[in-house]
This record gives sequence, structure tokens and C-alpha cells, in this order.
Amino acid sequence: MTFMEVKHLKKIYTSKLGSKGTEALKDVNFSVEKGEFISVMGESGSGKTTLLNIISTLDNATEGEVYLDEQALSAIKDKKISKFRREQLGFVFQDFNLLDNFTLKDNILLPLVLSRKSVEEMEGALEPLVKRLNIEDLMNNYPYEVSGGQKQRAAVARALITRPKIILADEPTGALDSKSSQNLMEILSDVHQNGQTILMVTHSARAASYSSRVLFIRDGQVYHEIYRGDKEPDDFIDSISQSLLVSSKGSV
Amino acid sequence: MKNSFFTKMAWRNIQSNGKLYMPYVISAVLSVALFQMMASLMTNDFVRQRSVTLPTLFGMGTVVIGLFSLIFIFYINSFLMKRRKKEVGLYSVLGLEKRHVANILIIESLILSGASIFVGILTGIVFGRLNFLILNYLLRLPDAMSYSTSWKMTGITVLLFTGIFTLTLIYNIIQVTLSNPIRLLKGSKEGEKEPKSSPILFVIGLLSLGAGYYISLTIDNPISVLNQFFVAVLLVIIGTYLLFTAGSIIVLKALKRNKVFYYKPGPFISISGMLYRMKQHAAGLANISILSVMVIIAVSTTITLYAGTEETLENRFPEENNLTIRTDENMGSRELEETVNTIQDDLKSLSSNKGYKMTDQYFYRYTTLFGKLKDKEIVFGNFNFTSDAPTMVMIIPLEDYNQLSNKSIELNDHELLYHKSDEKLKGDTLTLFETTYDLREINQMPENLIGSNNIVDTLLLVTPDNSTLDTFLNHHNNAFPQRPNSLTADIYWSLKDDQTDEAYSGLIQERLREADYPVETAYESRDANRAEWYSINGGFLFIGIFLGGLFTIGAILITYYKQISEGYEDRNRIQIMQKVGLDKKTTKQATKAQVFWMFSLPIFTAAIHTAFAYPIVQKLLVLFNIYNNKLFLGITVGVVLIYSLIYWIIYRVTTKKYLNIVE
Repeated sequence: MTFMEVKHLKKIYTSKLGSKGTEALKDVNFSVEKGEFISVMGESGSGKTTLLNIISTLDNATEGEVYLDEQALSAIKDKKISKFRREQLGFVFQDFNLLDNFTLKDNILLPLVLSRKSVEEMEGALEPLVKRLNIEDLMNNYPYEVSGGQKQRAAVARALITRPKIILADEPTGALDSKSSQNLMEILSDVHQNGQTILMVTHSARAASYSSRVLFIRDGQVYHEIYRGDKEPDDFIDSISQSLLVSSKGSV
Repeated sequence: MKNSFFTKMAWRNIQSNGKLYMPYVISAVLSVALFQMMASLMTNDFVRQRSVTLPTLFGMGTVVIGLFSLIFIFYINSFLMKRRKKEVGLYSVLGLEKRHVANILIIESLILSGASIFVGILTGIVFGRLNFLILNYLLRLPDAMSYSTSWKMTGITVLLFTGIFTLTLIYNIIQVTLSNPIRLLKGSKEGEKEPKSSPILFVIGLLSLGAGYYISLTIDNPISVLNQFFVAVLLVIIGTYLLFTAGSIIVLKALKRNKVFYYKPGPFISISGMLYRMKQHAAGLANISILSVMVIIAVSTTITLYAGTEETLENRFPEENNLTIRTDENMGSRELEETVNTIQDDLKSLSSNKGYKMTDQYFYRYTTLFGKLKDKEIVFGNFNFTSDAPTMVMIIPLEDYNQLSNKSIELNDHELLYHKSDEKLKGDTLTLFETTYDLREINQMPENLIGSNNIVDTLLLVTPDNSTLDTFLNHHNNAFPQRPNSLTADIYWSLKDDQTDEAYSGLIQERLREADYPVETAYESRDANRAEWYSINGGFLFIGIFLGGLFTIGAILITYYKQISEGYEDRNRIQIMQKVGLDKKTTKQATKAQVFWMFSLPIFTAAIHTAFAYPIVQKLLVLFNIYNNKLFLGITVGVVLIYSLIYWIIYRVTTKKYLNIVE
């Protein structure tokens, strides 16, 4: 079953001064099945962040459409967009985007508070989640008191707590050391095992190797994709590296 | 590297960071101008002639403003540096050594502080003069005030602010040198520790505030008001600071612990936001509160003084003309009465000869002794007035009392009438000079006596006859021959249709000089005093409004800066929350609630302070012969309302700026 569909997505950035715009996305097409864990890989400037921003409803496409569960994202009214983002999407950012004035607990609860859920409901959702992410002892700490890996785990908890349809992760391991990265990817992989759909943008072949499918994007177009199938991450990483190598050669 | 390079660099920084520097420079300029004007006022001839205590008061005010300036400039500097750390970090990364960075900072600071001081002094000079011109025009006082810029004080201003700016520069350089480039690069994003709640400071604050309020509420003796007023003010200032810093955090944390209340979008965002910034902003809020109280009190008391001038005159001079007659200790009350009658007849015939018609002519005789009440006895003697004020005892004969109060009370030989405004005497007998009398209380002091007896709580005694009064006086003079007391008589009269004028006063004074009465005479007319009182009270009004203006500018400055700096701090937070799903409407609600509380807290505090200051200030006014509580209350309420309106306008304007920054 197609869960999310990206159709003929095109994005042109126009600056105020220049009449000619920059084409960030040319014609992106792909679909996501429910429960898939997809990585989007590409070099800087390939358009992967633009793609993610459009799927996140943080940016609008120039042409084309994104459907999530048969809902066209561009058709969602401005007033509803925040609610949609809060309830249907979960975000994990490269620089965590945790708020320093909230404890980790409050940071994680933020989307639920904004949805006006009751305190019991919130705490009920919080407890198993943070136990699974192994940050239950840090709930009363502030973001500046914990390590990067712990911050990112809290961010993942914040993304998961609303039971979103899809998790959108933007370079989640970008600011982490290798050990924390691995730990985080294991967590995401575990989340995926439990049926969560995830779309991740990343530079790192190692991070991508935890996903079930990798899309390669270049010059605003998806030019290649590989499935992991039954491969172990360690084997999958070789295929990814090879694909990357081919693509860099191809682009020369 | 050459200095010209650094200069260019510094100059370019200032230009490209205009948005950050503009509020900084404006605030610094106004601080300098405020201080310069306040200090100049201290040495101003106009102020010095007004009253002996005023320069001292202004000296205190100047010190307070100086301290405010120091705190305030440090506050805006730290805000500036926080935002600029990234830039400084970048320099280091690009290869500038720390001393090079320091060089840039020094040159920047030279330009900025030099400009601020120069423009500030200029503003002070121009604004001070302009203010005086406008106020002179508006108030149209009998004699115009002159404003002179004191060059000595201007010099002190320059020195002080050079000092303050140097301190901030040193602080900045130390900050930059101590931290490494990476930390600097992340500087403006670095988290700040959550403020700790400190119950001890909170309790001290409560006690201090309570003590200040208590002094104000319980003060009954206007003479000691002046000393205690400053103690009370100091206690309230300390209390305000502590309550804002410690109390706000305790309250916010308590709210946070209430889960059902806290975990809702509005409170969630605003409480955490306020808690996060309280550490830096509590002092700012306390400053605004205190400045606001100062504005309200300065303006409302001086307006009351001015508006109550006519009343003051009527209290001091119940009739248009007042002649006080002093005898020596050998003259008895009977003899004094005869003399008074002679003088009254003389004045009457003189007046009617010159075509004036006297009305309401009356007099009363009295003597004033200082004694101490001990249970049912009064002991007279020498007292130390400063530490332990004795009771003033005013004694008048029944005959004169009945005439004054239009009554026909009769007393037998061992009875006395008494009145004491602040307390009832214990028991129904009183012993003086070893004779015991039965007491009867009078409910109301005759109106003519209120004016001269309100400052100190006087014990009024009415003797059954003249001889009793003479006996008391003789007893007293025998006991203290080195400080004999004598009788006084006050004669009052008005003329038909308020005819008393300079010509009439001159006539009376001439007659008093020429006639050879066996007593001392002192003549005063209400009319002649009117111009002088209006000039004095007008001067106070002038100073009050000037000060009110200065303090208002101070409050506006802090508010403006707070809003802008908070806007920049909150922008990042709000953006993150919007990414996670905070909608615009909730953003607006939450930020508005937050801004509203940050705004209304100081004005509420100011209003409460004013309410509690009311009794002590009212006693202060009594010293200036203002007894009209309704007038003072009305004016105070009016001033509070007008000030709130001004504050509300500032709030609207700065909130707009804040929301613009945040969104």
C-alpha cells in the first residue's frame, strides 16, 4: 500500500534581485510504503534538504504534489498546518532543536501540550517511550546538561510521542560522534521494527545502512535506489558505498 | 597590524550591527543626559534657594541615578556582547589574535562611549533648558526659574560614565580572552542555568518590604517623618529587588509544579519563558517599579502642594489678617485682655476711618508648655527634642474657647476640658503642678486651632477661668526661672468683601509701629503671604514635574530595552516551537500573556507601593500645612491613572516592536 507519494516535485528559488531562479528540485518522484525506513542520500546542494522541507510543510513546492495517506499536503489550509505538523509528522533535526528553557521532559511533551492533551495522557505516553530510549533518568535535566546523544534521543522521543504517521529526520547523526550515531541509528532501526515509517536525509552511508531502502538524489532528481532486503547493515553499507562511488564517477 | 585597520574594522562593525547598536547608544545617551540633568539640578541656584534640604535630597537622587546607570549599562552591554560573541569567535577562527580582538573592542568602545557621552551631555544641556522653558511657560509661576548647566557636574558626569564604560570594556575583554573561539561561536546559543529559588532571600525581601510598609502605616508624628521616610524608602527598595528576584522564581516554580495548570499551551510557553529570563530581568522589573513609584509620588505630592496652596494659606491664616501679641512673663491674662481690647478698638477705628469695614473680629489667649504625660499626670521640664519628643500642651481659658467654638460650656474650679487628636487620656483626672482636675473631653478642636497644631499632636487644655491659667504659668515659671514662658494672644479679623490689600496692610503696620503698646506685635496678612507661598509651592511643583519626567524617561528606557532584548532571545525559541507544530495564534496568545505580565507586574507593584506610601507622604504634606486628604487622594489617583496611561502607550509601542522581532 502506498503510504506517501511524491509526484513531479519541482522547486525553484527566486531571489529578489535575480530574475532567473535556482532550480533546487527538478522532477522528484517516489513513493513510500507504510512501515518503510527510507534514506535519502545525496551531496550538498543535491536538493535533499529542500525535499525534506517540502514534505515537512515548512516550504512550498513550485510544482508537483506530496500526498500523505491520500492527503495532498498543499491543500491543507494555513490555519490547520501547525496542527497537521504536530499530529501527523515527527521531526528529528541535525542540531536537535531542543529548547533550553524546558527540561527534557517538557521538551518531549511539547507537541502534546500544544495539542491540549490531559496530563495523565501525556505522562502515560511519556513513560514507556523514554524507558525505551534509555533517558528516563534525565527527565528533569535541561538540554545543556546532557550529552549530544542524549539530546538527540530526547528529540526522537519528542518526534515519537504523538505517534506520527511518519518521522522526518534531517541528518540526525550529523552532530554526533560515531558511538552516539550508532546508538541513535539502532534506536531508529528499533522504532522502524515496531512499524514506524521513517524518512531520513543523510550524508552518512553508515547511517543509511540501517534503512530498508536508500534513494540517491542528484541535481534535483532521484537517479537511483537500492533495497536492503535481507542484508545485514554491514553488508548493505558496501552496496551503498558502491552506489555512491558510481554516482560520483558518473557525475564527473 | 596597523591601528587604522582596526579602526576601519570597528567602524564597519558598528555600521553593520546598527540594529543592535542603536538601542544601546540611545539608552547610553539618555542615561548620561539624565544623570547630567539631575546633577546640575543639585547645584542649581533655583533649587538651593527653595529649601535647605532639597540639595541633599537631590544629592541622594543623583547617587541613585548613578547606580541605576551603572547597573543599566552593564545590563545592556551584556546583552550586546551575548549577541556578538559569534562574530568575535569568527575573528579568532580567521586568525586574529586575542590582543587584536581586544584592539577592535577598545576602538569600538572608544567610538561608542565617546559618542554616547558627548551626545548625552549635549542632550542634557539642551533638554534641561528646554524643559525649564516649557515648564515655566506652562505653569506661569510668579517668578520664572532659571536653569544653569553646572560645568563641575558635567565634568563629574563625563568622569563617571567614562568609568562605567571602561568597566564594561574590561569586562568584555576578559570575557573574550578567557573563552575559546568555538565556545564564542556558539556563545549566543549557550544555555543558561535555570535560576535557583532562594527562600531565604524571599523571606528577607518580604520582611524588608513589610517593615517599610509598617513604618509608613504606623507613623504618627510628622516631625519624625523626614528621617523615617528615607528608612522606609530604602527598605521598600531592598524588598522590591529581593521579591522580584527571589519571589518571582518561587511563584513561577510553584505554578510550574501545578501540572494541570502548567501543561497547557499558553502557560507552558509563557511560564517557562519567564522563568528562563527572570534572572536577568528581575532587576529591570524592580527598577521600573521603583522609578514608577518615584514618578507618582514626586508628581502627586508637588501637585497637591501647589493645588493646596490656598488651603495652606487658610490654615495658616484663618482670617485675612492676623496679629499675634506676645507679652512678657509678668503680664497676667486679665491685663492681656485689656491690652487686646485697646488694640482691637484702635484697629477698628483706624479701619473705619479709612473706609474699610471689619468683619469677624475675635481673639484668643493661650500659652504653650512642653510636658510629658505620665499616666494621669503631666510633668514639665527640659526635654531632649530630638530623641524623645515631649507633648506640646496648649492652655487656653474657657472664655476664649467658648468664643472660638461658639459654645457656652461651663466648668467648675476643678474641671478641665481637653482634646488630643491621636489618643484618649487614660482615666478621667489629670494632675498638673500638684493639683488634680477632673477631665472632660472635647470631640473637636476649634477650627482656628487646627492649623497651628497639626504638626505635633497637641494636648489642648481649657482652664475654667483666667486665674487658673495665670496660676499654671506662674507655677511653671517658678520651677524653670531660666526659661520663663509667657502668654500670647492671636487677634483675627477680615474685611468686608476681601478688601485686605497691600495698602491696608501698610496702614496697619504703620499704626503698630507708631502706637506704643506694652506688648510685642507681629502682623501678617494672608494676601501678602499668598504670592510667596505660590512661588515656593510652584517651585516644588516644577521640581516634581521635572523629576517625574526624568524618572519616566528612565522607566521607558528600561522597558524599551527589555522588550527588544527579549524579542531577540525569544525569536529562536518561538521558531523552534513553530517547527514542531506551534501555530501562529497560540504564539500570539502566549507571547502576549508573557509580555503582559512582564509589563503589568511593575505597574501593579508601583500602585501597591504608592498605596502603602500614602500615609507617610500625607504626614510629610502636613509639614507643608496640607491637611486635605481628599485633595491628595484625588490627585494621587489621577497621577496613577495618567502614568498608567503613559505606561500603557509605551507597552503598546514596544510590544509591537517585540512581536515584529519574534515573528
